[in-house]
Order: sequence, then structure tokens, then C-alpha cells
Amino acid sequence: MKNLRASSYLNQVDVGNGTTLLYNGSTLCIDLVPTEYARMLSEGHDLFFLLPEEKQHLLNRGHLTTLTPKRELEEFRKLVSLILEKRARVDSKQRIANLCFILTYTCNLSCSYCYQHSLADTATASPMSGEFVERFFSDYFPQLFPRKPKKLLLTLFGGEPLLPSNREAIARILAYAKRRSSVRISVATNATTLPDMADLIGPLQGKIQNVQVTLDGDRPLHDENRISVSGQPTFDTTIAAVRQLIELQARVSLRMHIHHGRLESARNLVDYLEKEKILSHPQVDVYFSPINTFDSEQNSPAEAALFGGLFQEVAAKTNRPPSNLDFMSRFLDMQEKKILPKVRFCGTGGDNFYIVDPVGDIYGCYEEAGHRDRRVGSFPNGKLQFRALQKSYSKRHLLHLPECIRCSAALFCGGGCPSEARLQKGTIFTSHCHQNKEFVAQTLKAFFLRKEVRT
Amino acid sequence: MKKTRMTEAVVGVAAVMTLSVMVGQILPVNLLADNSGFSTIAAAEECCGPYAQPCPEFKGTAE
Repeated sequence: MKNLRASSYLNQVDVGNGTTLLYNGSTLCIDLVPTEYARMLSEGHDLFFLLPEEKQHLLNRGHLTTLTPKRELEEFRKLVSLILEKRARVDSKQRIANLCFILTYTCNLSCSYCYQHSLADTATASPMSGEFVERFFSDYFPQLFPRKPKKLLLTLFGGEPLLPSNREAIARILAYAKRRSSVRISVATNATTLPDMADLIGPLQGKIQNVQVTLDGDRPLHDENRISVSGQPTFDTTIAAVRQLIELQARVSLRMHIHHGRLESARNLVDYLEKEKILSHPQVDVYFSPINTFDSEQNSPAEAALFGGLFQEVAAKTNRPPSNLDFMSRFLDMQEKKILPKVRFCGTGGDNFYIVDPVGDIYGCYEEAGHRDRRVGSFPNGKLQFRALQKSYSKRHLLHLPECIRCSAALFCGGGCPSEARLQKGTIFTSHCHQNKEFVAQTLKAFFLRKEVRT
Repeated sequence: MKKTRMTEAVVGVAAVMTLSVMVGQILPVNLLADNSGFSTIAAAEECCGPYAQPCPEFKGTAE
């Protein structure tokens, strides 16, 4: 075979025992090979080390190719177009809607890195009223979702959504959900006001069933960053709230922020949560999340190894990788048809994903809520009107992301956060790599190892 | 590569991938039966709310 080379979309992750997973970002094929093979493929060696049948197999699976890089890119573009079309048809059929209410821009914390610091004026605006919620469901909701969703995910967000001043709006939202089994409610909260709002949370229909709580690291780092407006620490309050949420039988998503150069703090927090029997509690899902300014290129090889070790340790202890990439397990399990991979990073720009704030403005991204120039729509005179930004966001997929279309992990990532791409590089039509590729690799490894352990 | 270690790993995976057939020292992990077409199952978190929370489970009957 002439001009045989490693595919531009070939990825690999060492899974131990002298073996490595090759996973192709175009064909989605996954193969276990000796680590030595993977090393030689990545270093561009001659392929003399492969048996003829191994060579043919890797070619069939797409890990090797005879195409030039330019031609392979052209073929990949065609594939992404196909996936986009298929995905649109699937979304239209499944009709899963995601609606987020920004109940208020006010927060009782003043975290050092909060992206909402620039919303000082908006923060003084009134919270969402119960009357607005009623009007929203009767008049606005049918305009946003002309085809009634089969499932509706409602998320309460802020500011701090569980401030007692939001109780009336939350009560109306819960009343709406109680009458509809197709609705699930989540909240992203700092949980410091939970004792006053606990009656709103529980496993039953008409309650807030899923609660996301953030920890910044161990007590010193958390209390350095996540402080109340008056400067008080919040670590102990947050941990107490997690315990209360478990008692209330809520599902808890424990988001652990990763800060550059502070991995030892994440390590300490994992140890603490394990000691307190929170880490692997069946109602708790722990996941790592690098803060927005984190870039994996900042990591030294030693830090990357430390991160990988901690990631796999948590995965082994909780039987679930600490990431939000659960779908990676499905790539491992594909035996007949391929699952539809990612061609977008998130729902922003889609027609089933909206964020509504107390004044009725519609946003496509949580992080842009409150910045009125970033609205994607509103309801002037009670009639839905989209702005040009919605259309721009709808075009934010791999075909319009020049760096991403060439990235080996494109179909596992989808391009990274558009909002952060704009903030850091000036346009949504560029990548935001963050730590995505590393998370994809570590998550795939964890699911693979879990599969091994089960056998 | 140490063959014994590879063999251990392969045995573990092959037990669940019953159709797996090693090609030399390579073990296919997925897509053994058919390498064409896409299912309707999508990999995406856009249904999962802010900061990509895990998707809530729907146990009730959809309306």
C-alpha cells in the first residue's frame, strides 16, 4: 500500500498494562493496541512494525489512511455535513426542550472569578415575579416552542436562584411542573440558602429534583474564592448543604473547579469527600470542571499526569468518570450503528434551548445573560422576536470552525464554548479548547477500565 | 509490549465484546458488526443545563 500514514484524526490514550486505545475522531472506531504501536504511529515511523493484516485492519478502521491530509479533510467535511443533517432530523423528532430561568441577577456570594461581576447594574434589577412566570407559560412558551416538547428540562439559574426572594417565582414553576410528568427541574446553586428553601427540593414531581453545587477545592482554596458578599467563608455551609440535599433525596451534581497550579487542592478535596462518605454516595455525581480561564496548554507534563491520576482515581472510587462526558461510554459500546457524534459544543443557537431572564429577554448562553447586547430575542408587545445573533449562533458548528474541523477530537468536543471563544479571541467562530481533549481522553479511558473491571 | 499483560487486557475486554477477534496484536473494541450509518442516539449535552449537568432522568410517562 502506497502513501499509507496515520490519520489526521487519530487519537490515543494509554490505558495501562502496556496497552493503548486508538480512537479515531472521524470513523469513531476504537481499537486496543500495544502502546509501542501507538507511540510509533504518533511519531510518524515507517509502518514496518505492523503485520500485513494489522496494517490492513488499521486501514479499514480509519486509523491509517492513504488519503492526503487535504483529501482527508475534504472527506471529513462531508461527514460533518451528513451528521448535521441527521442531527437536525433527530432533534426535530425527539423534541427535547431545555429552558433556563434566570430568576435574578443578584447573588449573595462574591466569588473572585465570577463572570457576572460586570453585571453590577443588572444585579439590582427585580427578581422574576410569579406573575411573569404565569404569563410566560401561557403566552410566551408556545411561541418559543411551537411544537410541544415531549420532554422539558427546566433549569433555575441566577445570580443565586435559591435566594428566598425568588420563592414566589419558583413556586409557580414547580406548580407548572407538578402537572406535567414530562418536566424535570434542576437548579445550579451555591446552596448557602438551602435551609430556607429545602421544602422546594425532593425526588417527587413538582419539586426540584437535581441540584448542582460547586466546590472550588479544599477548604482553604474554596474559602479564598467563594466568599459571601460580606466576605465570609462558605466551605462548611456548602458541605452541610450537600448533606441536607442527600437527606432530601435530591440528585446532587457536585462540580469541582480545577484551578491552574492548584491541583493539590482538588486532591485534598477528593480525600475529604471520601472521608466524609460524600464522594461515592449513590445520589452524588462528582465532576471536575476547569474554570473558564484554564487552558490545558498551561499544564506541565507533571501536572497533566497528576490530573490524569486524580481523574482515574475518582472514576475508580465512584464508578463513573468525573466529567460531564457520559456519552463517551456509548462510543465504546457501539457494535452496530454509530451514535451521532458532536458537531456543536452546546445547545446555543438551537431551537430547543433558551435562557429567559426576569425582564423577558432571551439568551442563548448562560454566561451572556444580562448583557443585553448579547440577547438572541425578546418579547416586545408580547410577541417573540429573534435577533440576528440567534442565527449567528445557529451557524456555530464544526463546518464554521476552521481550527476545529482539523482537530482529531472534533466529533467528541464540538468546538468548545462559543462564549469563551468570543471573550478570549474576539469571535464565536473560533475554538475554545479549554481542557476538552484531555477530558475526552481521560473519560474514554475511565469507561474502558470500568468495562474491564466488570468482566 | 509484554505479551502477558496484553493478553490480560484482551481477555477482560473480549469477555464483553463477544464478537471481538484479534487481528495480530490489535483488538477491535467497537463497531464490529457494521461500520456504516448512524443511529438516532446523539452525543451531546445540550439537554443538560448550565455547566453541563448530567441529564435528569425521566421516569414518568411523557405527555
